[in-house]
Amino acid sequence: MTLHSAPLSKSLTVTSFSEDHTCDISDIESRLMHFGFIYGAEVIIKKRSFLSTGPILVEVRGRLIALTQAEADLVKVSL
Amino acid sequence: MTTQVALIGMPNVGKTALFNKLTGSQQRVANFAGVTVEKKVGKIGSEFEVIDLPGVYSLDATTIDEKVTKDFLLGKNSQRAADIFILVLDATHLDKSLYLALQLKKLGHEFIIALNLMDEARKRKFEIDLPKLSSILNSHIVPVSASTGEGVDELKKALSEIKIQHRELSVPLDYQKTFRSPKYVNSIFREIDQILKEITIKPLQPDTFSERIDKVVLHPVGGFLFLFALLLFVFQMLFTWSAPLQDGIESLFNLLGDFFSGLIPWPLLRSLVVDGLISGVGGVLVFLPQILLLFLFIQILEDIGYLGRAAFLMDSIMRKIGLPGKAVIPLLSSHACAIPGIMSTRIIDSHRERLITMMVIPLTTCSARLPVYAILIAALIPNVGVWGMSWLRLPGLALFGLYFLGFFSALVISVIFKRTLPNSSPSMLLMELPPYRIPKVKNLFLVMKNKGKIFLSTAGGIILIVSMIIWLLVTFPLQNGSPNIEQSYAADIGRFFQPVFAPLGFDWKMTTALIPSIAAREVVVSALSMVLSIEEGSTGFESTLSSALVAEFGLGSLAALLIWFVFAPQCISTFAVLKRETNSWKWPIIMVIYTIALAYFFAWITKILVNLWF
Repeated sequence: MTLHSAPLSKSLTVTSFSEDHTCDISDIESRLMHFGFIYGAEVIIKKRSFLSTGPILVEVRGRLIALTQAEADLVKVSL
Repeated sequence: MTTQVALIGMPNVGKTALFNKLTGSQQRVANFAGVTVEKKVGKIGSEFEVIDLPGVYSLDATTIDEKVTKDFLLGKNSQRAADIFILVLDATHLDKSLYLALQLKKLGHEFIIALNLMDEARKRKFEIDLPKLSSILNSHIVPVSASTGEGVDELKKALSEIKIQHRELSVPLDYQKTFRSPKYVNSIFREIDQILKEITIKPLQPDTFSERIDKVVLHPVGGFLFLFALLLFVFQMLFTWSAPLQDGIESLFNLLGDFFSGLIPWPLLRSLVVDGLISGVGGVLVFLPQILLLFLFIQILEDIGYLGRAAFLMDSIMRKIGLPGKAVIPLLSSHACAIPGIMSTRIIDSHRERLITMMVIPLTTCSARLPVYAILIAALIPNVGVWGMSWLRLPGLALFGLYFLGFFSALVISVIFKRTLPNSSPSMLLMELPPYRIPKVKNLFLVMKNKGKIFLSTAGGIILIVSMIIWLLVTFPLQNGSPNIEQSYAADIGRFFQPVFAPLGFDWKMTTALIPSIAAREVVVSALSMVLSIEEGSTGFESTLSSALVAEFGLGSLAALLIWFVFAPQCISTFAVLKRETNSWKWPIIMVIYTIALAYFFAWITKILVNLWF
C-alpha cells in the first residue's frame, strides 16, 4: 500500500528501505530515510490536501513531515 | 593564534540563535529549516573565531546549503577543519538530532554538545539522564537555551577548557554510497532508539498546542481562507497602524523645514536645505513606520513557524505552475527584501525550479516599493471604508491588490519559464514542519532595529545624495539669478528621455523622477516631491505631494506610474545578487529586460483604460 492511499489517522508501518534493499538509493529516498521513514517505522497520516493530487502531512518518529504524492509513493506501508 | 569553532547541527535546532548569543552577532533567525544558507563568521573575544554552518540532516547532503556543511565536515575542497566543533542538539527532538551526532562520532569527530531548547523540553516534562548521554557519546554536554541565553556562559567556559586534538577522520572510501545505504541508516536509527531507551527518565509530552492550531491552519479549505484573511489583515494594518506615526514624522519634518526657512537668509542655500535635503529625505523617511511594520509581520510569520505550513498548503497549486511548494518561503520573504529571498532559494534542490523562483522574485513587492505605492494610492484612492465598514479601508484593499498583482504575476511568469527552460526532475517538497513557537519580542525588536538602521542609512546615504543631485539639476542653470525648472538641466534630461515614456503618459518631470529610481525605488518619491515642490515653492510631503501629483499629472499617468512600479526592475543590489547566485550575467540581464517589458506594456494599457473610464 502507498501512503497517500492509506486511511487517515491509522497507524501504518513502513515496509520499504529494508536492509536487503539492493538498488541504488536516490536523493529523495535518502532524504526520506533520514527523515525517519526507515523500515518498520510507524507512520500516522495527519492531513491531506484539498486536491486529490496534493501533498500529505504525516507523523513519523515524532516528526511532522510534509511530502508530495510522488515522494509518498516511495514509502510503502502496511496497516 | 585564534581557535576556530564550528557550530553544526540539524536545520532549525537553534544554531544561529546560539551563534548570536556566543558572538554578540545579530544574524537572522527564524522558525523554519534553511534560514542559514551560507556560513557566517563571528568572534568570541580575540581567542575564538566562530563559524555558523547551514544545518544538515545527515552527511548525505542533497541541497546547495547542505553541501557547504558536508564539505566542511569531511574536509573537502581544501577546507580547513575547525579546531573545536559544537554540535547543537534539539532537546525536544533528540530522535532526529542524535543521527548527526552518531554519524560524526563514527567518522572520529570530537565535539562539545550544546543541548538547546532545554526550557521547552522541561515544559513538556521531558527528563533525561544527561551524565549517561554524555558518557555514551563521550562528549561534554552543556544544556542551553539559545533564546534566553541560559547556559551560554557555561558553554564558553567549556570552550576555554577543552584540549584541542586534531584527529584523522575515518571517512569511508565510497562514503556517498555508505551514507545512503538502508543498512547504515537503519543501524544508526536502531542505535538512537537504544540510547533514548537508556537515557529517558520521563518521556516528552506530545505537542498538543501545535496540533490544535494545525487543525485550523492546515484545514484543506479553511487553511486557504486563513492565509487569505491573514494577508488582508497585514495590509490593512500597514495603513491603519502606521498612520499616527507617519503623521508625527511628517509634522517633525514640516517643523524642521520651517525652522531652516527662518534661519537661512540666502535663497539658494535655503532652497537646497529645505526643498532639496529636508523635502527629499523626509519624503522617504515618512514611510519608515510602514516598512518596519511590514518587516515585523513577516518576521512574526517566520518565528511562529507558519511559512512551512504555507508551503504545504500551496504545494499542489505551485507545482501546476512549475514551482515547488517550498518556493512560497522565498517568495513570501521577498516581500520584505528580494535579496535574502533570492539567497533562500538555496533550499530548493532542483536547479531549474530554483532558477525560476529567483527569476520571478523581482515581481513580488519588496519594501522599497511601499513608499511609492503609499504615495500613489493616497493620490488615486479615496480613504473611505468598504461597504460602510470602517475597519476595511479602500487604500488598504488597494495595497493588498497591488501585492496580490505582484505575486500573481510572479506565478504567471513562472509558467512561461517552466515552458521555456529545459526539463529536469522536479524538486522535493519533503520538509519537516516545525512546532509553533511564540515569537521572542527581543528578536522582533532586533529585526526592526536592524531593518530600520538599513533604511535610515539608505535615506542618509543614497537618497540624500540623489536628492542633492536632483536639486542641483532642477535648480541650475539659474535664470536671471533664480531657479526656473522649465529651463533646468533636469528638464533637458527629462525631455531627452521623455519620448520613450510618452506612450505611458509620463511627461518630462515624471521621466526625470523615474531615472534615479534605478538606484533605489523609494528615491522616486523624493524625486517627485522635489520636482514638484521646487516648482511650487512648498515642502511636499505625503498629503500635499499626493494632491500635487493629481493636479500635475492626472489620473491616467499616475495609475500608469503605479503599475510601472508593480513590474519595474529591482534595485542594482538585487541584480548583483542574482548574478552571484546564477554565476552568470545572462539571467540578471533577462530579468531586467522582461521586467521592463512587462512594466512598459501594463503601464501603457493602464493609462489607456483609466483615460477611457475617467
